[in-house]
Amino acid sequence: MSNDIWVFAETNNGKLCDIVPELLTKGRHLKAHKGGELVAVVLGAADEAVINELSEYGADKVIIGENAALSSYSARTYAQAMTDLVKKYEPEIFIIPATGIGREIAPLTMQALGTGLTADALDLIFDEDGDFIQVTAGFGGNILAHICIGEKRPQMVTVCAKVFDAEPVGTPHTANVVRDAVKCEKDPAYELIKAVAAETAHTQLKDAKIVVACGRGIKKKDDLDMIADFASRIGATLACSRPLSDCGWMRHESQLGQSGCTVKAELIINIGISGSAQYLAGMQNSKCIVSINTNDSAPIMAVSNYAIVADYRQFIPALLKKLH
Amino acid sequence: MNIIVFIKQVPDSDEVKLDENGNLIRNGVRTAINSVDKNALELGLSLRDHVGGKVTAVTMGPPQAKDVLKRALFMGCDEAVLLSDRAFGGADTLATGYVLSMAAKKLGSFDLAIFGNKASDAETAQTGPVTAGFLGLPLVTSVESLELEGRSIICLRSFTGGTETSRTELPAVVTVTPTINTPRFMTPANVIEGLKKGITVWNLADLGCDEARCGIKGSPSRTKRVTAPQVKEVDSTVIRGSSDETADVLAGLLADMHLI
Repeated sequence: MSNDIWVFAETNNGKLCDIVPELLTKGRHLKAHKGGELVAVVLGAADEAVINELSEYGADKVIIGENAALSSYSARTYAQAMTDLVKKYEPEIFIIPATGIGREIAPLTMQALGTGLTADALDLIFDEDGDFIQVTAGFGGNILAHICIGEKRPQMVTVCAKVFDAEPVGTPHTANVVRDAVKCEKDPAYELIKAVAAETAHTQLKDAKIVVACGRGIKKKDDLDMIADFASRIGATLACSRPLSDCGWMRHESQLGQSGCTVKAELIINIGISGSAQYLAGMQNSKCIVSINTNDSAPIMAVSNYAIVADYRQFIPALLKKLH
Repeated sequence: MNIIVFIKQVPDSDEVKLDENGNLIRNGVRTAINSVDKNALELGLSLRDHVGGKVTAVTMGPPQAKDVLKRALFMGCDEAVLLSDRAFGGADTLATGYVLSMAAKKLGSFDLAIFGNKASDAETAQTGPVTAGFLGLPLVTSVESLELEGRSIICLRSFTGGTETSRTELPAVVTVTPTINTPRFMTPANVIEGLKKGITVWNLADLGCDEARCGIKGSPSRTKRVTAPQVKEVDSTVIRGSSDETADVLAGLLADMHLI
């Protein structure tokens, strides 16, 4: 058993995912309390640029699990490789990005190891008893659960993008690279037929500077058209709160909040969103918050720089007229 | 085609209260079927309607969780199974996945196990994957469209910043998103049929579960404490007036930010 803190350094087409520096930064802070090494784990291959970036954010060691079967993703193969590495090196804590891939291989690895895994932590702390606590939201964010994994190791946790800030280390160093011929097999039952990258012109929500978000207060699906029109006129990315993604009016990728995406926008305009605690946590670090709601006592109004008491069905058309 | 749909009973709303010790007050809370589980049921039912076979709805929970199984029968499921035992209480996703996988094994050979991608209460999105792990089956999560092709399924999903289409051989485990379909309503005929069908109840002994792997005992993680979240209040300017007046304020702000 080691005292090491692991971060899964997910790559996409050979490039390090943006969330990895955020998780390494948090890992560094945890290491200051706990000791051990901060280890970035790559599955497949990592070039010089990836290794340099991992060093820059404080990885003491980079373990690269190498196997020809890892050249393309399949859940079982990646989880097998990850399980093999964990059994060999026995980390204390394992932080995994809450991405599509992370959300598949984390629970599969957890099951294979028989340990605990906390989903989508908002904070990672050591409490007064010295226990490693994963703070996570439940019931739409109306409660925060402080979860600890008693005996089993590693203590596994997934974290969404933008929950933690990425800060490079002050003094440059180079991580020690370990190449490990990891055990795993190609999954004979799974085959990727086609992968289509998202249009690059379309800003990913988590990186959006201007956001227009709508929620349960939207009366009918057709109203989303005029809101989308407004969003495109000001160059905003359209987003929603959980009710609209739950009912299928908008896609999950557009969902803000703890179970969706976190943004730190220059400007966010909330339309018909009452502001559950989980939603507020997903956007309250934005610089300027404007909310349009018919209910002036909705929780979102108290956290908004501009609380506009209006019905969007009259307000948006009136605004669109002014934006020629 | 033999299909199992795993569903969950959840509190009807996100409004939760804590007692003075910081524990959740669960008594008197209205419950409902987890919303996306209706999409999971719809997928199972539409596949069955298309190619024949049967759909079995399964849930783990206290006796009152029968309510969600009745709902599944009223939508047209062929069979319903409740996994209920005091020893199952307090399970994390590892212990839950263990019990669900034991139920799947007891049901015999099946082609497809379907889950909603997450539950509205804890939102871990782990139970489907963990169950797939216990069953040793391939897993595809957050599926947005699914088609049968011989003994395989073709799944489309959003993945790693784009979309992905994959082929998976059956048997397999999938989790689905609300966008995959529109769940059917109950029909009077299905309700009449459903009322005739019983709900099978299996306990720990029926499933042959190892008690040490169930419920609290089998759960590596535990909730140490529950707190209410802190909200960061700001100095808020409230703007009222006609839509024209209020729209002027926002248009002014947008102009200041050089967005228009």
